[in-house]
Amino acid sequence: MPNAIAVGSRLYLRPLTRADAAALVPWVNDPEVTRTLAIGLRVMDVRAEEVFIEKTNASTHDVLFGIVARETDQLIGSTGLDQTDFQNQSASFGIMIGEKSEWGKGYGTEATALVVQYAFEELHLNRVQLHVYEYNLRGIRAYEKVGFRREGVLRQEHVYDGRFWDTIIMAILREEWEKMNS
Amino acid sequence: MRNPFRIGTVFYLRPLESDDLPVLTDWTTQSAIRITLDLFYRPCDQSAAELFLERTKSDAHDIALGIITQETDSLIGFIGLNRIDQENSQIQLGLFLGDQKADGKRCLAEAVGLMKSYVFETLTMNRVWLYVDAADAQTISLLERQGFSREATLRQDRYRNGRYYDTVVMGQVRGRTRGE
Repeated sequence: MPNAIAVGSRLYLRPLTRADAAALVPWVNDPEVTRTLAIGLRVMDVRAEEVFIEKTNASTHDVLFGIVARETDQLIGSTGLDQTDFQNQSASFGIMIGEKSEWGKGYGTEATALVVQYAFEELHLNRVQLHVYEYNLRGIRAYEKVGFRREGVLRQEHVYDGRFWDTIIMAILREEWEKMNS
Repeated sequence: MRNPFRIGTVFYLRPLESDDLPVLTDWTTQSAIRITLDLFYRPCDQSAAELFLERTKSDAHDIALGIITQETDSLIGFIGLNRIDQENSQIQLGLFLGDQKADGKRCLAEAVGLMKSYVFETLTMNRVWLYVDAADAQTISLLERQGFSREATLRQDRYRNGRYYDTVVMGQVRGRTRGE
């Protein structure tokens, strides 16, 4: 597990580097992958992805990890925190399992739990929040399993496939996470 | 009225100018305002306020307007739009009343009404939303009367003076107003 930052039972998280850009680009252009992501309508090429990785790694408000399956040592997606707010001790969570053959295996849940643990134990945050589109039922289930609670519904917050959709706000607090893990 | 952008019955909205800076800086020292604003939890002198104003004016995603009384032509509050999200046709509203002696209810109702019309009719956005301190029942109720709904309560979202505060997200979607 080269350069592992957080290790779970079936996967580990490691920093992403420029060299990972080529693996990520097909995923961030695939509509089936991006339909659940808040990455906008940009077309990404390898150079743009390299710039994104370097910029994010240099930011003190962002944490970006590659998600790697331990068994095959293959990169299957990316995850991390952005808008980290040290004044209010909070951050926003995001995740992409890009490798579609790995969908439905619980990797998203495991990676989410590792990032949440990192947020509370390493960054000493108090609150991790996320936005999830109403049609992303698999995501909602995964976040609930990790301990995220629904805080509300932002009506017609997102445009996808020619219509407006609601966005659900979910969050987990340090006290809830500590209770679950005590 | 000086350079009005939108005109109401008692108040009007105009772009903020550099001679407004002393008033803005003075507001940031008031504890009631410091608790509710993310903007000013750090010390704010005139040059910091100037920087904020410059940044707001040069960013195509921000619009900052002063709320002015028509009778005395004095600046009593601030209302603005930021995070213009063309892709999802939505925009964030921000507001505060700096002059605590002013008729807050009437002022905010009028300023929010003018901005709503600008957001929906001029910018043709689909959704406008804002953050409000969850303990500020008066503003929440005022916004509800303006057609906003409570959409979410962000628990322990802000830390001020040694404790966490909840934040409410209030939103309004085009065409949906009270009673519809």
